[in-house]
Amino acid sequence: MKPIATQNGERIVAMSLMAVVTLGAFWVRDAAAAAEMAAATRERQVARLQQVRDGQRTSCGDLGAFSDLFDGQQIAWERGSVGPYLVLRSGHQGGE
Amino acid sequence: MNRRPSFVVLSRGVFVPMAMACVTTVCVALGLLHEAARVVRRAEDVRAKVDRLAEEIVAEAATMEAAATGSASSASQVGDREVRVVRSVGGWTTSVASGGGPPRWFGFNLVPGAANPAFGSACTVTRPDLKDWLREARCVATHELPRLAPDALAAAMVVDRSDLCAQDPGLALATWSVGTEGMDYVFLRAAGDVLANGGLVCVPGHLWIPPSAEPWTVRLARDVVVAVRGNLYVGGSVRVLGEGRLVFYVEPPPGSCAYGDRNGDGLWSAGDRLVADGGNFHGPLEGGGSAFLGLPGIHRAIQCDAGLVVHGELHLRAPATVAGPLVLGGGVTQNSADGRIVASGARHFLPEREVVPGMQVAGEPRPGRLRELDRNQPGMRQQALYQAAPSR
Repeated sequence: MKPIATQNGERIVAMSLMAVVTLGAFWVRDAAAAAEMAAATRERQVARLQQVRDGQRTSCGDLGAFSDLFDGQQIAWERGSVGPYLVLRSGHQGGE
Repeated sequence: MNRRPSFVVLSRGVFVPMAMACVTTVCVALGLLHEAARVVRRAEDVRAKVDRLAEEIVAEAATMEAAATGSASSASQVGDREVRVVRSVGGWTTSVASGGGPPRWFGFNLVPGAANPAFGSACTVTRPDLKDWLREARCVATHELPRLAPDALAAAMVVDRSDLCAQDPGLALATWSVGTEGMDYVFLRAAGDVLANGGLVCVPGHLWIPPSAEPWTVRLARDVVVAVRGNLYVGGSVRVLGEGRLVFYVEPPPGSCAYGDRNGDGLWSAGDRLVADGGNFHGPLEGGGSAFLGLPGIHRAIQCDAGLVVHGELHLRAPATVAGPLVLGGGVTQNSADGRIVASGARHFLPEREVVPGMQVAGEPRPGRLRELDRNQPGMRQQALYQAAPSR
């Protein structure tokens, strides 16, 4: 097949458009991959925390690792007279 | 000037660059939009999961605090979440409203105390040397082992008065040279219907799970403890379907003792070792309070979905996997080279929040496991944890 649009201006516009679209595609792909990774990390954290609540894990390391999940609220264990439970607190307090 | 229009994709079989660029741009833009939408949707899904988890944590914490203080009702604010707890007859009802939206409702049944921590572990032993067999096992003192609650035992359904089990000495005679001196029971075909109701069931003798290529299967809506006042002989796999969990609690009845049957003949004989230190053998020759996973002449792996609490000796004649909590008050005797055991802990309890039927509890009455109630049906807020079992 042979191109029939021979005017240089038209070629330049077409090539520029393609270049912009290609760059945009790479940018969106990278951003999507980063967002996907962040979502997967949060989902794993939710699953781990759920396992702790369900007793499938007796320990999940430092609960501070979950602070990102709850918009700055800190999660910690509380041991009352009716057994241990998790609490969400504002600010920075340690967890088990 | 006679110029061809540029926005024609094909014109007499040739491509126009500008038109191709536009078409490609539209296609790529649509693809990007789709990808962006997918990522946003996924992020929203995860966000919703986090919110739900946070609401559950907040609801549970508020309920625990209300239970500890004994207040009939309470209201609190955690971040942008408004939490209200109301004490009801059988437990607590808690609502969590986030950002002015409709509240989510949670229910907590009242449980009389904490179950033994052994029910929350894959494996618990009393002898440190058993950690060679079960590396992940918790080691506890003998007095820390789970025990039946006397009042529950008195009220338990005894299989002699039910259509759960039947006496069948034939299996014992086919397995051991002279059978057993005690009563031998096997589950009846209708046992599943009886066990489905949950609770504590007492077998006043030895219980046999016959050897079979197909697993003995039971569907449980509620948790069941089968207390065996004798030995438990497991010849085939045990499959538990449904939400309920099954635990075999095996202890020696009065007048008998548990021992490690080293030569695997099913009878007390020279070389066998008593589980209790410093005593003399007494009672029936087959002893009591022991469990046998695998039977002579049967070469088949055993998958046991039930938990095992064995106050006597655990005998292994086949490779076995136990999904429920495995609690060993005595030792382990390997009756064949294949005999080994894995405690997966897949069907354990949450001891701080759940009761194990018929077993002793410790500590104060407390809220049980959180369960979500249907927000559109306020009448459902008082619903039982499990649906009523169908009448028999």
